[in-house]
Amino acid sequence: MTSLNSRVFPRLYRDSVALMAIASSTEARDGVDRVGAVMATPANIAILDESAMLPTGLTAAPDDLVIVVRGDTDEIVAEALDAAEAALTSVESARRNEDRPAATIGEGIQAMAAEDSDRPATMAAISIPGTYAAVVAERALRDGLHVFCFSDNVPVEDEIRVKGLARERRLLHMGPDCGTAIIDGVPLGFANVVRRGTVGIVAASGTGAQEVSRLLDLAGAGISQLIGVGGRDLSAEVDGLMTDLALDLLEDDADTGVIAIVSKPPAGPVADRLLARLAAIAQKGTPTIACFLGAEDTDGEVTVRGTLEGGAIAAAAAAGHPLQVDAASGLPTTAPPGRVLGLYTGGTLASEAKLLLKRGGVTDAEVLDLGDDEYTAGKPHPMIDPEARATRIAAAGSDAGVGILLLDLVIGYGASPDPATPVVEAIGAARAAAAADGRELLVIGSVCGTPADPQGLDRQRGLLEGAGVVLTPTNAAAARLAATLHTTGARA
Amino acid sequence: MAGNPSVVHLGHSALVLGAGRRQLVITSDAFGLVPGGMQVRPPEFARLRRDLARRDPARGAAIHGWRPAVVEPADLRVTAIDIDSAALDLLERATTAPGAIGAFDPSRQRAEASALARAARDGADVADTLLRLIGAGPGSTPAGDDVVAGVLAGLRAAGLSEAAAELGARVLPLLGRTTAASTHYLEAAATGRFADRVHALVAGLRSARSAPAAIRAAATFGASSGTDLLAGIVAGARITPAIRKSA
Repeated sequence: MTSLNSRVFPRLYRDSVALMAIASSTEARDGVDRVGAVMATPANIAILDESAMLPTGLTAAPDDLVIVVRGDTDEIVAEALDAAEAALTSVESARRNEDRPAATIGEGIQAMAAEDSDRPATMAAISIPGTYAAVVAERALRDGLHVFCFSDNVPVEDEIRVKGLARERRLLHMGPDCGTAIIDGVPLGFANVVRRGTVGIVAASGTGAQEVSRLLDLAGAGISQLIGVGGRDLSAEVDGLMTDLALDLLEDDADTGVIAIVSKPPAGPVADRLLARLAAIAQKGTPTIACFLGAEDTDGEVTVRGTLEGGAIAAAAAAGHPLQVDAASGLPTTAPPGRVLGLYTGGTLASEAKLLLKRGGVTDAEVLDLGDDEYTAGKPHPMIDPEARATRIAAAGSDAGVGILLLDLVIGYGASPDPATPVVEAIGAARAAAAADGRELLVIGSVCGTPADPQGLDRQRGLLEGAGVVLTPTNAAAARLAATLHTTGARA
Repeated sequence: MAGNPSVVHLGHSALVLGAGRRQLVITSDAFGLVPGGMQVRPPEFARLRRDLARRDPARGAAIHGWRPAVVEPADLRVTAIDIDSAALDLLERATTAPGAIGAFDPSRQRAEASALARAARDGADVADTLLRLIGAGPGSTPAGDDVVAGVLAGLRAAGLSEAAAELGARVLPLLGRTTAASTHYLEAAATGRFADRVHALVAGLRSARSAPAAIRAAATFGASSGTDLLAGIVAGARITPAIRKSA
């Protein structure tokens, strides 16, 4: 025997999303069997009747909201109705006080306009499933907002369309899949706390831009703007739509004295056009650096560098703050036998490591970008949640084929509050497993961070060093050291 | 609007003022234009919303002091378009999205769409189907109303405007069976006028390339409204003999 009761709210409207939330949360209560939260129209009354959900004597009109609950006992049903009513009231109260967070771009614009009409919204940050991102981005652009789009899995045709619209309106569309940006000193997405300076960066690579910007901070140079454009912007399809606009803006920016582009290798024709554009900018007096991962280093009107480290050194020099990448002291000269295994959280850092290992003659290295879609389906990015990588680090100790473990550690806004601790614990487990098997494991890495990052650069480095990790000043230096030890210093 | 209107609904994207059964729906860009309504720019919408929220509800929503900057009438009729078979298939697959609200599942109303469209085309009796649909299902604009409005739009997009007009004539006497908020827009649909958001979905019928945008848009309308509308549009559009095979 169950209990059935209802409550009628005369002439009360709630949008269907709010009603769905209230019905679902009420139905989830212990002892509650079914809940109906509908307008009391004749058709709905008939449906309630057919479903044995119509309480005796229910009287209501089409504009009345009725909530019906079936549950185990009268008490449970009464409590569920009270909870549903409280939820309805709280929706009303939140609306009356206008403290409900904006749920759409339009609501956000309205909320900001209502709060302070002299300081209207200028940028929308979008982090929703990629299928819907372009619709929201278009809305934001049409409302005059720049866009920072963190969402990935956005169809390339959507990217081309919204970037075309953005360019037409002289608005930035950073992304999709834009991991980092720093606009007017405000970090967006994953970003290090980098001092303000004169180097303007256009980045089609997230952790690549972080590595370059944090090295510029180390040099004392700093950045004026860091404009992310998304990893596909320099592909043949997208054709640098946003990079072109970003360069226009940096050229017009009085605080920018040096311009650097950071990217994986662009598509051939796009690279040619971009280099010509950078040369034209350089001819007008602004030094330009093209940091295209894997490119051959050349010095001309445009300084081209094929590593992140090289790009940072060139940009720092152009800004008048030469970067000294000190060779770490006390580096090992030998390493245990076995291949190099790179377990990375930063995609471009992983690519740089692969490149330098290959250049160093290492042919059997395995470098994994654990932030790639292949590893993150349904899980947080490993820069946010370090546990998935920690599990792989621990497992590497049981792999007799691994001699050198190569790691990155990215800190800053957006990253885990303490990424070093799980890494250190996992290294301990890996070393113990290797030792039980009569083997050793050498761990080499670098930390992508600045002294002002919230995690504390010194603390994170200290934890890693305490666990015996060999730290180098840059990711490139770590990869070079691994290559050297693997090819010339491996112990028999 | 004659008399002193009352505030029916103060939403974040639509303000509904009413006098008797008549309504004026003021929307921002985020929502799009509604038949017989007014669309204003976001800052103006925010000011109006704030002013109405501060008024004593008992005194109604006197807005005599408000002067819209520009008034431009808009034609919101849906006219016949070239319908693509692949687009129809894509849109139809999207209408299986769940949207149950507690004990109420809008798929029950969506399932009636095809029968309603066929009956409208064939001049058959639609009374029982309309009685089951109008005012039925979850939402303050119940799912059944969205399905009916969708069928009306789909028939017109398919070039069956006479069938749509006749179906509309059967809908009008039943408007008292639904909510005041829904009456306004169902009445407009019955007479051939549809909100911007309906036009955005109808545009998805044109090609397989335009369908995904319509599906994405549908997912943003209420808890299930967009999908319910889409189910009706697809049912209405599918019964035309003039569907173009995709290249």
